[in-house]
Amino acid sequence: MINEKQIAKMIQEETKKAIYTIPVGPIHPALKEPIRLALTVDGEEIVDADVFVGQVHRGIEWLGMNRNNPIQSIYLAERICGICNICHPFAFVMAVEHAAGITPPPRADYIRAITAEMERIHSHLLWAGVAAHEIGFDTVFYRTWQVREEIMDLIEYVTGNRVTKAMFQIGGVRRDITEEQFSRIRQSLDYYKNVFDHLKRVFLDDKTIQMRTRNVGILTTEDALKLLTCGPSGRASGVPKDVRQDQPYAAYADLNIQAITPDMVTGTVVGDVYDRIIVRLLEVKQAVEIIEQCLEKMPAGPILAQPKTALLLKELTQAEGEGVGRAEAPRGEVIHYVRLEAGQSTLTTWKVRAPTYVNLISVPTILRGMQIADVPITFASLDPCMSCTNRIIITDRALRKKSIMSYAEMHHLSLQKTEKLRR
Amino acid sequence: MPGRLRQVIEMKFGMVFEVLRNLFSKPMTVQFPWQSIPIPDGYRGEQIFDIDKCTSCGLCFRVCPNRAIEMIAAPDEYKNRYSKEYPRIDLGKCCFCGLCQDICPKGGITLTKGFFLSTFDPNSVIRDPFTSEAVRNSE
Repeated sequence: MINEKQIAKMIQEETKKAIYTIPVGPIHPALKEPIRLALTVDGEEIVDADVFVGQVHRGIEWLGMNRNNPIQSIYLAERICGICNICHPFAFVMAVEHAAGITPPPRADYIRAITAEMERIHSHLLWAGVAAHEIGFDTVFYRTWQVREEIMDLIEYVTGNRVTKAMFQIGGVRRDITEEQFSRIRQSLDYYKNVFDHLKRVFLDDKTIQMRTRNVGILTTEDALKLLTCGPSGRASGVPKDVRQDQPYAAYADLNIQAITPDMVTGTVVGDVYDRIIVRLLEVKQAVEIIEQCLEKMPAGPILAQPKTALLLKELTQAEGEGVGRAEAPRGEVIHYVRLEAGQSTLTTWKVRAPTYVNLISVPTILRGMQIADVPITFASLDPCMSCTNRIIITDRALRKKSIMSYAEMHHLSLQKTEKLRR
Repeated sequence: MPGRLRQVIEMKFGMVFEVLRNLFSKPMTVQFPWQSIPIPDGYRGEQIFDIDKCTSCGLCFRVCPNRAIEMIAAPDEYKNRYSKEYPRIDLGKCCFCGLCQDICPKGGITLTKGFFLSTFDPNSVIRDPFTSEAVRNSE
């Protein structure tokens, strides 16, 4: 493996110019969460970049495996990230239901989809404000977050709190959305429909934003396919993949979801920061439409498969199996893997794969050839959420063996495991 | 072309219209704590514990994700009336998820809209179940 020191030495020998390595982070004004980027620069141009994670590791999976029962772990999963705290419990609850064989009733599916879309609106507006702040356009930052206050008030009305929404329970949801609440929800949706054109004009027609984001931080379609970029960052590079479209879960199977790519607005796919702004703003509009459709189609019925929590706990202690839950977080595809064993009150295994973990792999490719001044907006345009990313790997110390698996071997093993889980 | 003229005027002078509009409109700041945005019902805030409904089943203690609830016995002056163990909630550890409200079979714990919980005194964060009026008036 060639590291940055060897590259620096090679370039220095070729050009006889000094190569510096500039660290960005873990604490840096341009970053919202700690991560270390090591940029190898030649003058102002970035020659190579490397990413080091691990600064926000909190041991959440360990707690889930050693101290908490599955119902308590939902609240732990919620606190993996402050922005995406519907999608982590969503994937976790789907994994546990898959493992234990519990099916939530249809009304619960619709309520889950509604809250997930509300979270998507809030997360994308938060990102838009942060991106404007990274450019230096603070007026747009405040205006976008003022627009975001409406959805936060709506979330507080529906779930009881602005953040940490505590809506999920294994086998359903904890709170119902009744007919009287529909009018308040529709009021907020109308506000967003009216303000969307204003937002679109501010972000997409503004000359300053175009100068700073067009042809900056380009990730081509074939690079995105090779590096498995997921979520809006991948869709902005022309990869039309969306878990809600490809493997629909909850209520999304009844709706017609289409992955949004930037050629719906501009006609071409460049894969730069401007395209990512387009995709995220259009997803806000799509989320508003999805919530409206869910409100119309919502079926009547119970909201929990097992309303008595004490009995549910007992059922989960006796359950045995493995489960995988996939959800479309605002940043991509989040996967939770859970393994339950009969007689054990905690989870046996819990592994979280957050979408930012995959999107970070594309950072060196994007940053090569760019100016240092473009690093904050480019890094922020991938919408990194470090709190989701820092997770663990379980090793078996007793075996004291170290082996390196080839790509073909690992691919074969993953296919085998997927087949086993699907049966 | 009136459309093009309107576009040019908006481009060059749109800022002026926006400034005049904002000069004569109310600021959107809410003067907290003299004014406040109304809190919706169903907000998960401070707990109220009704000791007369408690049967000491201990389910709230078992379900709390942060182990904020501890079952303690009554002090001597109340022991003849409240002979079993009752939950003491540590608000410093509580995450206000509301599982204790959901799981209690008698409805002993309810979450209210109270959110003025910041304090300088760390001892006032632990809510003793025996300090309510009902308990003190029972003897």
